[in-house]
Amino acid sequence: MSEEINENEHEEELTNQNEALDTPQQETITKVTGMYREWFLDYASYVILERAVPSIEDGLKPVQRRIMHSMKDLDDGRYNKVANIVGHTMQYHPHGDASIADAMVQIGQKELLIDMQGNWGNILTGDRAAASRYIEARLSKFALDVVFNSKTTDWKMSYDGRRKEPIDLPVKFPLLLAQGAEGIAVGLSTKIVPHNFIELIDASIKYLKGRSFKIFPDFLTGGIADFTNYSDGKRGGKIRVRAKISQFDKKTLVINEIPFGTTTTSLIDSIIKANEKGKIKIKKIEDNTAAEVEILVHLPPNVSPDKTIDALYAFTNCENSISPLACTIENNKPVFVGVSEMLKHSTDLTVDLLKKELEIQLNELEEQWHFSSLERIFIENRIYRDIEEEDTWEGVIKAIDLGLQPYIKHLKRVITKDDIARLTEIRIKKISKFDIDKAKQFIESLEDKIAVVKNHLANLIEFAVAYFKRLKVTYGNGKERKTEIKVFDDIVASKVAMNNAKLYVNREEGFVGTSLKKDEFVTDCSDIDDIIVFRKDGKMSVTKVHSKTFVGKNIIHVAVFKKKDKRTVYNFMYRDGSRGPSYMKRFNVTSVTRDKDYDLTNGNKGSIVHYFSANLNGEAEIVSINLRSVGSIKKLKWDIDFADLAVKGRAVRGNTITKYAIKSIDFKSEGVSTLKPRKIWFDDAVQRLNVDDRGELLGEFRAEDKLLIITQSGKVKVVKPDLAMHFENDMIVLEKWKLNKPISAIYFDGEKERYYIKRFLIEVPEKEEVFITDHPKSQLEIVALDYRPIVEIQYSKRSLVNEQVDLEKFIAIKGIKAQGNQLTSEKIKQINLLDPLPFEEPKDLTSEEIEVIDEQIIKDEIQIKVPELEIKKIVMEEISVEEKARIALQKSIEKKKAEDRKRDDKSQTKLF
Amino acid sequence: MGEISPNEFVHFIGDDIRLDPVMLDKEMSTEQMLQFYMGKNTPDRQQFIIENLKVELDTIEDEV
Repeated sequence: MSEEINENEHEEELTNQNEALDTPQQETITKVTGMYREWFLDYASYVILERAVPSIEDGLKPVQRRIMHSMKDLDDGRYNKVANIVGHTMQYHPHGDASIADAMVQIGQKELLIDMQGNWGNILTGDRAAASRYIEARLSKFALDVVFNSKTTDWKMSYDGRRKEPIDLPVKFPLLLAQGAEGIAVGLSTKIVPHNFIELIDASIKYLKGRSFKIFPDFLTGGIADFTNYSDGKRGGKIRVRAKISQFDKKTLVINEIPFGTTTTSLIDSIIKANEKGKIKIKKIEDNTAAEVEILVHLPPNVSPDKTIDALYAFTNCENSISPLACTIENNKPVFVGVSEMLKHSTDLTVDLLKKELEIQLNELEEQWHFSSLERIFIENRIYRDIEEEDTWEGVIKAIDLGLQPYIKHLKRVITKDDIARLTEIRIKKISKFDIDKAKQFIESLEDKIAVVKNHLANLIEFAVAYFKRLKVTYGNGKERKTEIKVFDDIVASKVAMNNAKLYVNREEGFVGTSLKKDEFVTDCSDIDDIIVFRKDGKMSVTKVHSKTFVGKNIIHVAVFKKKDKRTVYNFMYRDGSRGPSYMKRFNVTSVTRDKDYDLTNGNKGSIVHYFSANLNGEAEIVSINLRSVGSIKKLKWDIDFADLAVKGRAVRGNTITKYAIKSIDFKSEGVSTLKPRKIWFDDAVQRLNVDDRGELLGEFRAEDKLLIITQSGKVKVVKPDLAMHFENDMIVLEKWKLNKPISAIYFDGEKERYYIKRFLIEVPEKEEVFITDHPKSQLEIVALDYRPIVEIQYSKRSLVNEQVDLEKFIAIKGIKAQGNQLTSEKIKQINLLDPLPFEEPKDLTSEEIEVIDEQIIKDEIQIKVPELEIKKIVMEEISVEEKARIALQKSIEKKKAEDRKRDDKSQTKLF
Repeated sequence: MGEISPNEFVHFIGDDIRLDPVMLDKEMSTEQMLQFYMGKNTPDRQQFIIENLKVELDTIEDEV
């Protein structure tokens, strides 16, 4: 505001300046720029030095320092009304009472310097403190211990010259780093985030001991933070903070800690906003925060909690980024130093202050010792008698001085007039009751104290280390780190965004967009997605999703574009120019500039795309080439397998197909992927497959690998994994299919009312088959995918004991249509699947060959129930060193298998 | 002017109103000047402020 006023004044002066030039007073005229410069600097200096930026010495802004000083003024051990303290502070800080009260509440909420009483607000919810007349405060024990010492304080006059106030408080602790600070001045600003109390003390101790240290921020609100780019809190650094979100159950997420800089209220607002924009999908949000944060996010059905957590980080304040900018005042100048530098400065200052305190203490002790010694000499030697004959004051002084002379050789300094004057003030009572031993003892105790202080001064660093250790022990309780340090993965926003739009295309006219509802539907997408477009003329471009965008006529392919996608391979055949040869190539598109046409042909005019396919998993198909029969061409038709072609960059020319004109290219047969196997996960909550590490890992899939799916209704099917696949609700088995792994099942036949056991292999993939009988009462009891499963049968008849059945021995592997063998004629109460017998799955050909022998040994031993330790011994004795190594390997494989089985079992029991 | 009473304000704008004559600088146009002081925060300006800060300190030397 003041700047506006300045501007107006300045205009006024401009109108006057012509007259002014003509007047004889020219020498007194100031230049406008100079005037402006003065005003500006006055204002900027004031804001920087007196308002917004903390001092590096005590880490306090002026208002904070004045509050602390006032609290010390008023300190009598009892609580004071905050309003009263604010009023007192205004003697030093002539500004708004409300802003002083706010500043004080902020100090209080940092839970370090002020002992608070009443409602001081809540940093978690953002609730404000009660009015300053309702709340009370006094200095904390820590503040009294660490912040004040009038003897080591430099003073200045207050603004009106009535009182004195500290220039800097003698703070013996890295207060600035513990509390953090934030301020916007003129031309510069500061942002220092808080650090952990205990870690700061540890760092100070390390520094004193000459070791290196590193400090990281810590926030009272907790949360998780990534300090990889903290860069010591200097300008340009970056901190990422996240809320702690966990899955409460399949449909609910719970937020237990919020990131620094947010409150539960602002966090919830940001979540609701993201929901309204369609970036995330939630059903409702519930705030149960009281002493601790608890925000429940209820999800609608078919929304993945895993994905939603990522989306919350990507689209709401659940993840925040903070840019620290450490600026402080040192010697009345703003300096930009890192937090390590600040800590060193503070620690050096602490040592300095401790030294000063010790020196003051030493001085006081020595003075005391000096006078006590004098007193002793004075009384012991009855020097007071020497003054009896003296009439004048000078005479008295002289007499005493003379009387003392023989005894003062051991004193440390000369006797002054003041000393003697003080001796004359000794009371008669003290002389008459003088106890020599007591005086001697007292002087000796002083001597001891002096020795201790001198020792501290000589070993100042150790003394400072001990001081910091004492601070840690006394005040460190409950100040443990609250923010978890973690390195964050980058969440790709477009991967976790909800599909909130539909993409349409008008191929002929060359438009794509979300508003072209009359045209061809392409896919669901989110409004932050990019789309990739291929055109008949061999051009490709990537553009952001809009309601309607012109991308060029004759679109042959449009899809949502994924950055860094190396799996999608485009198989491409084109004719170069209007009469040129034809080429073929395979490429992927990993990164592009938006809205730029890329020519995929050789660039000659009239080029045209003969054949195009987009293969999400790098599949290579076989196509038939048909040439136009012209002249003497003998071979008019042949096949090309894209698998023979390497995947290269999009800019290559490609391999020549033919120089003759092509009549048509036809798809002949689907091919397999030419890429490495990819990991596929199953996200239970959304019942979808994904390749983004969400949910349970199903395994690594090559193009020919398939998924085995079994449902409770007895349907079994082996299919190629497709990310867009949906699954039936009663699915009980979903795993990577292994060709030779038998499926064992126990089912109840409704017609015959008996239990049957069958074991079978899948012989025809991609065909859904039912492996229990058709009767409505037929029911699947148990499906085991172990190689050698064991079940336990509990009979209804109490007289019959439970029986264990080895399914492998019970029935051989037969066809899927076989009925199987009857389990028992008795009535069955329950069947439980037990831990299976060990089986070494063939890993690969070579290991299979070698390990067969060992496997036999171990298997046999186990079957005759020799304890595991002994097996090892027996085997070890029989075999050579190399074999020992092999056995060890075997063991570890066994162990891993056992774990796998355990996991399988868990899911089994869960399913039934 | 919320801080000043009408009676006091009279003296600010009366006949003896305080006026300082000024002169435009040839080296720096008004526009440039305003741009520098009132415009965006530039590293130049920050450096200028830091180098030319005015310090007012009324210290108390020895008060024992």
